[in-house]
Amino acid sequence: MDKATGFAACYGCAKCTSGCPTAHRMDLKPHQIMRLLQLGRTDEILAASAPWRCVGCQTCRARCPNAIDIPAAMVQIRGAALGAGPVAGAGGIPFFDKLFLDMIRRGGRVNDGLVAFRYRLKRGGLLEDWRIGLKMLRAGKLKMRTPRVADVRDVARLFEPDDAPKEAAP
Amino acid sequence: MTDRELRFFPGCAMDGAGAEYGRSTVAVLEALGVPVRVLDDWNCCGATAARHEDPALAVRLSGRNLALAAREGCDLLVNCAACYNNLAYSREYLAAHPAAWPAAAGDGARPESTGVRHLLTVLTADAVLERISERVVQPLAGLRLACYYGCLLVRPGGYTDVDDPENPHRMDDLLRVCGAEPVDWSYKTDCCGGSASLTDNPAAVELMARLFDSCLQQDVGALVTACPLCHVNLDAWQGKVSALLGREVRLPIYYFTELVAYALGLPGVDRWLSAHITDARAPLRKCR
Repeated sequence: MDKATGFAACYGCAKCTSGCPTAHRMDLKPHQIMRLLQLGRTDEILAASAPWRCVGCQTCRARCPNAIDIPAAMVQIRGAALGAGPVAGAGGIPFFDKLFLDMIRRGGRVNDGLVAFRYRLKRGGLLEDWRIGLKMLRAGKLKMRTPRVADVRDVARLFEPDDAPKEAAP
Repeated sequence: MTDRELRFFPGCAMDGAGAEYGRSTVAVLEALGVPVRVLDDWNCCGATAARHEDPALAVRLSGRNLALAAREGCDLLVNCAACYNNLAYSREYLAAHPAAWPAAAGDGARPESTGVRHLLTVLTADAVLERISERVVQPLAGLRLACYYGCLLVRPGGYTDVDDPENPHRMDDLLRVCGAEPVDWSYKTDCCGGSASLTDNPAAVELMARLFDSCLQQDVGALVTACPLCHVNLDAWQGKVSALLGREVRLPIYYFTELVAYALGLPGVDRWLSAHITDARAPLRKCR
């Protein structure tokens, strides 16, 4: 795992876990993950569902006395876990992210309602949400056309890492 | 305020779920004499998806927008909390890693000289706040508000320099000038679960329930946001929150710009509010 997040500096105060709004849903708590990272026990971390329960609220990072970028570590763990195969705890998150990024790659901008619709179509829940969808449609919040940038090629290039400077890897 | 001209970065939600945030933002800025030009050919910042899937891609997406503003010698003005966070983070990252700065920005333009400013900082600059207070024609009298800052506007701090990450106050200041009564509220920076509302809805509903429960306890008349994702989340799921709490929750959710526009007597407020899922018009009629 990339040491740039600073996990080596963790002394286990658990302030991250105390402030985490979703820690009670996690199988491994944020401070436990930091410890396992230090110990190199990667298999246990990659098998955990905890990184997928992180909502990216940045509370842990704002409060960590050692300025560890815990949310960035969670993101790295997600990536490494997906790289090793399908992850049970991931739920629909990778699919959602893919829908979202594909739309940007194609036209440079996102139609939020369409992403939500496509997500529901594939993952279920359309029936459950139809009332809210109808209200949003009436309110004019769902648009049929997806806006595009003028220079679509320029944005698509950003998705081709070979064209992009290697240094841009935070 | 800096002297540099501003280019408005509206973000994708302003064409969709957050349309009324975009319209009320432009209306308020125009009424205050702040010139608004939209950044030409802006692209999506990648929101949370790019940051989760590929942080380097997130920096490149925001880098293109920063370069577009830099080429014009302008600062970016952002109202969406997520776009603001992505752009501000990328600006800091690119300043520290100059090799990743797009050549398209042109000679001499640097990421550190291209400001990323949130609307809330612009509207709470002393001179602007004074201008607003002079122009209030419909004070939000008697409206008890929970000013909700959420996550990405104020955290982690450092590159997000809108306000104090633990106890922000700018939205409270602004709405107090408009005649409202912002309450002391412990939950102003607690996450509403917006990023999980589609992928893990029960988790989001649970987080929202905490916010709404405290609003009920404090007899708050409305909740105010600065983020389109928080807005749609808090506005749309009150039925599920009511079921979880075992009591009826019907709290209007405003964008702070809608309330400022109302106080300034600008046209269009009623139309924007009609796009809300939870009725937001009745509480303002009481102010009259």
